Amino acid sequence: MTLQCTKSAGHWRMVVWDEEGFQGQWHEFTAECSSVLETVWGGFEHAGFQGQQYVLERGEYPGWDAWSVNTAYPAERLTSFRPVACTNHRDSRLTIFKQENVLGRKGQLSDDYPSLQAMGWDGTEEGSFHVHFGAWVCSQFPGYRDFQYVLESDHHSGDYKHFREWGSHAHTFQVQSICRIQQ
Amino acid sequence: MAAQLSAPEQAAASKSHGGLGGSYEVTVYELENFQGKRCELSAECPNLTDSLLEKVGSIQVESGPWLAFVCRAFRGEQFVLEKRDYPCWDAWSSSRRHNDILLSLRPLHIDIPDHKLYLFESPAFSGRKMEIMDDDVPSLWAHGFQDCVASAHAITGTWVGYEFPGYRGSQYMFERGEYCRWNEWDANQPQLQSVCLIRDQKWHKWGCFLSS
Repeated sequence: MTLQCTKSAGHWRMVVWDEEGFQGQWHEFTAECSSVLETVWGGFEHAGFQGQQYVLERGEYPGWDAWSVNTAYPAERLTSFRPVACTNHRDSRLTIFKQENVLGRKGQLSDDYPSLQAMGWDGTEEGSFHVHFGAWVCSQFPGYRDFQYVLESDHHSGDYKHFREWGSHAHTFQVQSICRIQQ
Repeated sequence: MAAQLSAPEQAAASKSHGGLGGSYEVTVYELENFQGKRCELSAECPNLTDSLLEKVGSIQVESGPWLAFVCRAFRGEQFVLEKRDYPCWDAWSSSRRHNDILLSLRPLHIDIPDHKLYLFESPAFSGRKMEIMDDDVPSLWAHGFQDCVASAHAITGTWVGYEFPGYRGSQYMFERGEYCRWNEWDANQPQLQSVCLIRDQKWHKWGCFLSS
């Protein structure tokens, strides 16, 4: 499977080829550009936006290893796609909580953290999140690797109170890197 | 929770090995999950086999960041290792192939306080240019730079370039200096699609978390 994500004439466009290297049958998805919000594509392992989640920024993905940062459990095909609304990256805001249900010690994030620990955050497990503005990707390992969870301010009222709400593939509270989704 | 870095604090951090008050410590294990023979490093190691490790199964970074290479003498595919535990090879590698071969490591020097990187579509700093300052760019295409990236000049800051968007694929380190052609950052082709800054609280006070 190959992907190409672009923007033209007021529309977000994604082309998906069945085979690697831009070969095979292809399908085109489009979404209108909002005048207010920026958008990227979200790709999901299974139908109905279930399974592993991947943010697909504009560019080319010539094979599954171009989008899959989970080398232990790679998603070699993506089955469902939808736009993910984000905001100007300087306006993105997220609160991270050590306990479930948005309780406990918290930290305010407005920047990218390829390693939370390298910036002084204790431990490797987080309890919950609240997204104030924009959209964010939380990753199990540093460097934005392994299982990823897309958190959006316009879903769940921005609250992600337990890992069960982070995605159908989530099975641990472990999150070690976080970054803003931006265009 | 986030403290701002003042100008005197920024000026105080040096660019020398480890920086002011900065130390580097990493432990490399032959087997996964921190088992088997181990080797502790606090300085660069151009040949890990000299330490009698046949392969690398897991890594613990106590103080970093470090840059690991699949070849001796700091050549070949490279991986940034932040402060944390890496229990198996796929915790540090996005390569399709099973990759437990790491043959050299060195501390990654962080350049501060400003961060500026120029990317060029042609070798020798020619052709279209893209200037990146003080922020990460998950998609060069989104900034209209869909061409090849054939040369680069890291003016200040320490940057990681990635083969694909969203900080995915092979990683290439850009420490302060000039890179006249893509082979100088150990790439096989002139392709970069995302770029981000290295951040560590030893040098980046803005955004770091204070102990409660």
